[in-house]
Amino acid sequence: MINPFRLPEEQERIPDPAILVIFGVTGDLARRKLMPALYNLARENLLPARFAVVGFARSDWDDQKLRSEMRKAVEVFSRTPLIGPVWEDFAQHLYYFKSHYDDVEGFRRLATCLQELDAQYNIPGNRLHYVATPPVVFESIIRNLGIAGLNQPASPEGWVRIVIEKPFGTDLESAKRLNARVNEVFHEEQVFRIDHYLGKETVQNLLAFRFANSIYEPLWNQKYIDHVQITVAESVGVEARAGFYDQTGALRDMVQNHMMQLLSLMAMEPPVALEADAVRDEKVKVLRAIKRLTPPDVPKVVVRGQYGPGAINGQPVPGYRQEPGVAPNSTTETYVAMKLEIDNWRWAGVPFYLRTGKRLPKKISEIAVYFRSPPQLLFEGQLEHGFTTNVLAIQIQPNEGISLTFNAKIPGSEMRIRPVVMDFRYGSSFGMSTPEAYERLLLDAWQGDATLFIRADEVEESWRLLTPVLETWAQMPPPDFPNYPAGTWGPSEADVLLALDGRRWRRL
Amino acid sequence: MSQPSSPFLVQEPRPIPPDEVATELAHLWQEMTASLGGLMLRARALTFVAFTADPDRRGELQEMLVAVSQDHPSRAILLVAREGEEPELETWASIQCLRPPDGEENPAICTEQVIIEATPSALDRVTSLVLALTVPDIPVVVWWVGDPTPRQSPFEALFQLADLFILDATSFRAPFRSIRHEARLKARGGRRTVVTDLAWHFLAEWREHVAQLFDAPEWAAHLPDVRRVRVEFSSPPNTNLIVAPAFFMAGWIASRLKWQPVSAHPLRGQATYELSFEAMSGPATVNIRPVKAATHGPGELITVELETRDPVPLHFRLSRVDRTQCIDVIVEQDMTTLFHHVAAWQSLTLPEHLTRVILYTRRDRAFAETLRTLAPLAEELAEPGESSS
Repeated sequence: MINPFRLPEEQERIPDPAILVIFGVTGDLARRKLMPALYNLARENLLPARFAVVGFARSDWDDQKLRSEMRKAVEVFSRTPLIGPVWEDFAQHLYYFKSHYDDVEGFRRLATCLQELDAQYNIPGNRLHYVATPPVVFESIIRNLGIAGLNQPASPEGWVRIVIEKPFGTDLESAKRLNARVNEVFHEEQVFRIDHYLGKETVQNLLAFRFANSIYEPLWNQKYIDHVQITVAESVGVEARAGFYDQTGALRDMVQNHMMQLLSLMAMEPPVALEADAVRDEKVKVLRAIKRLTPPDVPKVVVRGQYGPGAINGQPVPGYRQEPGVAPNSTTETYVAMKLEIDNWRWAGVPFYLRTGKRLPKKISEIAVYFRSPPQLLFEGQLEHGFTTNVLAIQIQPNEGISLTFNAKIPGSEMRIRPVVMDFRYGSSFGMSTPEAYERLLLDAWQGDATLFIRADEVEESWRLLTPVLETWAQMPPPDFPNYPAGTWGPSEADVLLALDGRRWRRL
Repeated sequence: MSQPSSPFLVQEPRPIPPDEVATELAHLWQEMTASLGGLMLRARALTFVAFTADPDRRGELQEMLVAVSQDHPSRAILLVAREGEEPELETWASIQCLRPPDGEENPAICTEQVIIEATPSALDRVTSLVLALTVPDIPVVVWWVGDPTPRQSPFEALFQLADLFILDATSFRAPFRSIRHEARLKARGGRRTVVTDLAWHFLAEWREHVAQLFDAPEWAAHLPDVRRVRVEFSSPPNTNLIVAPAFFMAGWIASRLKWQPVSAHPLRGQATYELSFEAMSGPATVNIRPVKAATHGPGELITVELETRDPVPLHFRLSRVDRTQCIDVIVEQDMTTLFHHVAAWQSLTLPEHLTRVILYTRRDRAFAETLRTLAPLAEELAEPGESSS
């Protein structure tokens, strides 16, 4: 029965009744992100009336404990204040299931539990599994879901999907192995690999900016663009993630996923439709077209760094090796800068410079597109200090927005030229607050829209590119760590990387 | 994304000759740039024109425009029709800057406000001034405060100028006659000038809760059997009756259920109405009535209930009785509760409603159908004494 109170275009955005199973519900991700996101979806009436959330973990909790712990988490981490009666109504849908991730019998009992909830809530067997655990148990969970039959819908009209958090492997081989394990149990269209960067409004706006405007696309190629800089800078250190981060490093933590996603969205061809596979096909093409790095290339085009003691916002901060939980001789990189080239008609000869790091002076993520200089500099004698080529900067966080730098005449009788900025800020044009990335992505997965999720071949292509870097680094431990003080823009080698091409990093 | 910014620098509107508004605005920008040391962003996402024929509301509307400009930076033009003779036309201009949402290092966001006061004899000419001040290429939003007066200046000129034309049926003095006008305007505006109504948007959350209840197929299956609807609205003591939102809700439910309007008449006094419809399989009625609810403002809906014609009827009730932050969604049959859900309720201020209305400039098909359904009933309910001009 179609709901007459919805217009036809609204019908498809109604999530089906379903059970969400969160593996690792006692962990940080569930407390900080998933449960606040679910609460806000419920608060905004975006969840279906018939749903249940089953939290799966090893701790000795029960339904009441889960509800009280999650209430505390929502009170602290939700973007909106908790409303008592709404929480109470939402919390009635929360259930706890205790088991070990490698216990097959536990998963069989889970299947029975879900069937009982299906009956209780009149849910037609729809399941959304969310793997929010450390990666070490990914494979056990996936295997046991298969053995317990939880990879199949519980009814002919039902569906089953699985959301997997990064990291998707630690190199090409491990990513292939994980994908193979996942695809032994689930069809690829059931799998939603989440990169929360794709849930950010400005990242989605990249598609709108490029393909809803006709003025940029003709310029979006090697004929007019000189180079591109992608920066994901953090001012924080490793915080409570030292154990994870020291095994991971900046390349795996940021470049392989977030930065490759930004690069592919920025450089992709127009998709034939705004559909999951059409968009992802184009992203994969970009990743495939990136010039492969060989071991001799790596030292020439990739710079790694690690922060030493320094200061952020005037406050002294320790170096990476002095952080709690980090080995005093750690060689883990906290900074990466690299130069990539995309070998296709659109981008041949246009370098893409990427940089990311911890303990940099400020938190900022942006894509800066540097246009070529005019073919003839008519005003060369009139240029004021600071003259620049046109730069289109797409800022992802904070202060989401887009700015265009162009050169203008300074008023007066003389012809003097100086760069000025034309600015669009989301906050100043659309003042409304936007949902957290996890809210958008959870809802998309619930509704089966995979556009903002990563496909297996994207993961593998990205690792195929970066694994030679990891292998080369493994052969050549860094001699000079730490090589940048906290609170600076990274090691001087990163500046040299651009200076060799006659360029420099954008001042942020 | 952004925390709400707050105005921190609002210039006192400066009186200026009408033909020098644009020049004076340029001066004001220079002054503001100098006083802020260049840390400002001149932002204009639309031209926002507000009209009122009630000079007593000038101050309130000025503040409203500043509040809305926090989310929709605009060149705001407040047009006030007033009685009197000389001067026929007076204008003021000012600039206000909003504290940047993300700290001191970001530029302030600055917008313009122009106030025009005109006597009836100058209203014909005032639109030329508005046209001159319209910013090119960005949307023009017109907020017409009060009953629509299509035969009087500057209504038609502003309607032609607007991409989005906002009425507010809660402020109509002759609600049924004006809703009838509104239905005609909506049809005439089509996609070029989208006509919308704040009273309709006040109902957005109600409509979503009703729709969400019937997302469940087991409840939606009963909708063809609904024959009676009850809509209760708040009427606190010593306030004017505001029936428009309840009337819109009745029209929306009827139009979505494909009921054809038959007749309408007041019951037991003017504030209670019975609307009759023809459903696919028989007659259906909607009762609209005021209730005393001290916690809700005049005109706010309190209860919407749909009842089936079964031998033991199902009652689908959405109620905000004694609720401020929530709404109860209940399904009952024979005094037994089959379903009860407590959902969040987001109370918005008028500027917040306006902000949301302006975000969506697409044609709203559900509103168009609602007005089409209500138009003949409004015609019947419009009293001979109701005047919208």
